[in-house]
Amino acid sequence: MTHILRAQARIAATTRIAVPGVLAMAAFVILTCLTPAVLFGQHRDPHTILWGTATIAAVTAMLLGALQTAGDLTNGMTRALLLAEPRRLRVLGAQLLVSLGLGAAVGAAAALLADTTQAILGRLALPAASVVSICLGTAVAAALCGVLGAAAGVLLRNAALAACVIALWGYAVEPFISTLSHNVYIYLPGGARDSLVRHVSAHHYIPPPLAGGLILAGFASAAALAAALTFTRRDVT
Amino acid sequence: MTTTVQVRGLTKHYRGVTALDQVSLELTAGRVYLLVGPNGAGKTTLLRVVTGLARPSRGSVSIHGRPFSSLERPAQVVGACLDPIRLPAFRSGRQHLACLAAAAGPPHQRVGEVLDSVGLPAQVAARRAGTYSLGTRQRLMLAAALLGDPQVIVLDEPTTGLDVHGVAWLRRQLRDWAGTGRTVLVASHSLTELAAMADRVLVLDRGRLIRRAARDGLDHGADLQTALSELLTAQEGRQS
Repeated sequence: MTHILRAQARIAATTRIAVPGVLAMAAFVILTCLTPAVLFGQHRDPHTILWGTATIAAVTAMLLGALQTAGDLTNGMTRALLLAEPRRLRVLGAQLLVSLGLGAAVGAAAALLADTTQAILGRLALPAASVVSICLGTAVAAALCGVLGAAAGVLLRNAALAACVIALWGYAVEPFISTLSHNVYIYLPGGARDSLVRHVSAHHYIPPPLAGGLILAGFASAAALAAALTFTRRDVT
Repeated sequence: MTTTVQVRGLTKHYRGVTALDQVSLELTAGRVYLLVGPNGAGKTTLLRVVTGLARPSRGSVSIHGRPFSSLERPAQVVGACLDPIRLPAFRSGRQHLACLAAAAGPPHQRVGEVLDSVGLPAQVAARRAGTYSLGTRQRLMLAAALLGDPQVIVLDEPTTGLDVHGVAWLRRQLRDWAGTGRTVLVASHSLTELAAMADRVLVLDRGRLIRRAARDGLDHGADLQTALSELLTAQEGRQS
């Protein structure tokens, strides 16, 4: 298993989208932190900005995972890998683990970048314990979203389609559902992510972080299971 | 002679189309097998099922008595070169092989050895694979197949895109591999280029293995292209 894990880590590091994706995420995080303060002079709640950062990190992790697995299926990398290691569950397991790790790294980096930017601007008016728990929540959410994305890539087998579905889900479907019924939204991946970063709302109930983490882990596990069933049964072209 | 690959009653359906129909064969060590047949005969499907990329609808394939996916070190048993068109374009040839070497288990220096053996210069291997010509891609795929120094070598249309030197190299390699006890299974349309190197010819037509014979037994001294054409015409006559 360590061989294939090492191979998948090497593949992820040399994927076309890896470096531009992380740089784009960093740019979005900085923009999220700077825009309200510098351009409009608004004083935004630091918690809201860190929540925005967590959303960016989670979507980035999902996109990286999905583009990696769907891309490898279409460009022949998965096929080449299966010729070297035909045990499909090992190959998929390594892909999912690498996406988990990459997501955690992306989440941690995004949270640290947002905290640093906010601190430089003098707007990180939160207790240290809250900052740490939000950082941890962001990393955990992004890690689990990385698994979700990788599984979606395996299921959809098309990088462009996977990217569209993820962007649409994260920025259109979930926000729409949250406006219709917050009680439903909190049990969706986006709502679970909000719970993990303690995006407290005065008007709505959000579950505790542990419950949010379990909900998101449940979604990631279900997606991984569906991907495993598909990947082990389907012919690889 | 040791049987290395055993195919029993292999059938493969694709959405109502029977790509392979009850194919059974045994491949032994130290021989080059040339798999021939018209377009759509099932050659590539057979190779894909043998290498575990496609699941058989019925039947089984075993390599050294076990399914490919249950071998301890699969890359050291089977090396395959299929479809050189699709290759990750962003990585360099060397990076591509390094990723596969990490998965297959051989030490990293093996990458340099196989690049040398297929005649891919270091400066070419350092370029992105997306810039490669078809022949260079073919060489890279051959290098990937050889990473584990496998006992069974499976090649699908390996002469596609290769220049005359490449074809000559491949012809020599086929005999060298067989000479060192390896089993070589080659699917090819280029009968003129590879037929002379084959020990046995397997003829597939519409998913059925219609003939298996020593090369000399099939062409009777005439050229293999003519013999194959006559065989397929006769088969069509029998079926109609």
